[in-house]
Amino acid sequence: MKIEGYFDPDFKPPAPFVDAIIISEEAGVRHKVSFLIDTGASMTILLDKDVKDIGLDVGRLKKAEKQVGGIGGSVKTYLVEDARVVFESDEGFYEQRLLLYVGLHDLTGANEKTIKRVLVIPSLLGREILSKFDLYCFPGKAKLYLEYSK
Amino acid sequence: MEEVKNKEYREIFSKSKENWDWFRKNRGKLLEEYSEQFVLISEQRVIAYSSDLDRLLKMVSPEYREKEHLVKYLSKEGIELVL
Repeated sequence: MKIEGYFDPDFKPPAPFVDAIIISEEAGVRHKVSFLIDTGASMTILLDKDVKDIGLDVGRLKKAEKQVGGIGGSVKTYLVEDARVVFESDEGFYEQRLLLYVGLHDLTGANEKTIKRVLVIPSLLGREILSKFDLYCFPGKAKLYLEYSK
Repeated sequence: MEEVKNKEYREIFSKSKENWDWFRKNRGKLLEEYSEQFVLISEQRVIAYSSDLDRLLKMVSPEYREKEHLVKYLSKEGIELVL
């Protein structure tokens, strides 16, 4: 089973992405999100731009005990405990439950440049999902896919 | 039930692909017109743009927020990230 990704040309150099639908009854979410494939991230996390775009109310979510670091500074972290992620594959839809992290930077008092720098950071698809797949990445051919590995 | 679910997923991915394909095709023109701004694309056109993401999202009617759409930040310089 293969899930096709793509390289986003707005990043320099073009960055590897894959689209997925995030679903949660608890958070009232059913939206498509473009995830940066980040083999350096331990977990999958929705970040500021997508949180705002989706209109996710973090007040409905439980605060994570562990705070996440390394994403342009420390972020306030919340958990979506009933999340599911859906990918489109060549064999239909692949759906998986996950503990979804939601990270929000504290932008109080930040200047416009800092705010923009934070808001261009995409949500990250981390290793708890990526470890179920083999990642094939051919930037020279602008080709990218995840293949399910049993 | 499964069929309904699959139909819904198919529609979301298909609309998303349409927006993305349109964006790719028109990216050069959009970069000239909206550099250093956030744009919201839906139904293969720019619905709104602003240098402020919060303002952009407020400008867009709930109807478009609910529809499948694409929010992109456009920069001629390109976005550089080290996470």
